[in-house]
Amino acid sequence: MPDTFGEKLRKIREDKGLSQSDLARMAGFQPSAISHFESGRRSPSFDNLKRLADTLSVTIDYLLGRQTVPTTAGPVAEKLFRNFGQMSAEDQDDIAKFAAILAEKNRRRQDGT
Amino acid sequence: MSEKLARLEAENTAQQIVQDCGFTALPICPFEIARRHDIHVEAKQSRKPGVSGFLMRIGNTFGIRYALHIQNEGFIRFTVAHELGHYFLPGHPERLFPAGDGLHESRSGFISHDPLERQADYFASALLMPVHQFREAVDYAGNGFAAIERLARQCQTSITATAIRYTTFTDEAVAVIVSSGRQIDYCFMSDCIRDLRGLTWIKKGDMLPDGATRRFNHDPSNIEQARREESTCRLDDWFDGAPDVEFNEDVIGLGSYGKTLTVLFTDEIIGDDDANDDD
Repeated sequence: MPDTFGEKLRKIREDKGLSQSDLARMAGFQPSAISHFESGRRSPSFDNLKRLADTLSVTIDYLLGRQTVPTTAGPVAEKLFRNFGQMSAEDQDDIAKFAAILAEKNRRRQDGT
Repeated sequence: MSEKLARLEAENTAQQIVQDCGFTALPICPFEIARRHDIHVEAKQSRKPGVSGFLMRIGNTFGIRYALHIQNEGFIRFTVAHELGHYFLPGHPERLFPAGDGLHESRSGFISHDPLERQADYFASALLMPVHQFREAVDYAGNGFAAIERLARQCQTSITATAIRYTTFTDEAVAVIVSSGRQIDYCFMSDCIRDLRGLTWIKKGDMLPDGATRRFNHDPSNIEQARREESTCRLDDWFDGAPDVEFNEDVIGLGSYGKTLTVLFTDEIIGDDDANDDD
């Protein structure tokens, strides 16, 4: 089973019968970008991952090899904190509330509502 | 990646986004950029001090939460732009979460020790004050602290972030120093000062010279109440080996940030005599 992002991207793209240029065009990249991602010469940003995942109808976690099912969002949440060392109980509570808002939005995106 | 390349990548990425979003004039709105990329942005409900902002991902959905405990529009916009940096900059997903465990600790302040945080800060600065638009604005802004204030109003950025960016683009001799107590936290210089031969650069932790800034910092209420003071100094008071030229020394307290910003600038032409002789 492919385990790097580049290998995973290549596998999903080929399974869907898309060429590198097809995927680049559909996801709004330069034609060479997909080749660079697949060979590991270019590291993706979150924005790149989102565009690729949405175009291929899979989750970002599946693209990153952290999930085995292509379309289930699952409980994986990533949080980038500034000042994490100062995080209070109140901040933790706020993070949980915000996660719930995003989870609901994510569910609606998946359902297409 | 070297610091220089990281900055170049941040600058180019920010410039591309500004262009893609069709912004041609200042100010650049980070909330609008987030909206166009379907990133949910919301303020934290509490105004108590704590996390200043974070980017969160649930599945394929992204959100940015920002704090309101520092009541400064420029600081809030910079926080949102910084989190957009984590979203747009290549390599941040894998470098922030190499084990996929979903947590990343970072440090506070304008100048972080973490290279990813520094790159996101640089991105934020380049996004809110993009090269082409900012350079043009600098040309019409005048000089010194008045120029920085004018640019800050135009870009809707904090005085500190604007002052730092200003040193990169101005042709004038300007140094921006942030200090607390009797010590210097950091210093940015325009090329005109950097290029002076024999000048010793200020380092973090250096003591403030005797003068307006040191006297200002002696009274903490000057900082809390964001008071201002205009004075003069000699450049070689601050920089060993610098020419003995009179500079303006404008000082402002940064309020809840707890630090002091000093802008050194002059209307005089300074430079190496040898270089002038070559002309």
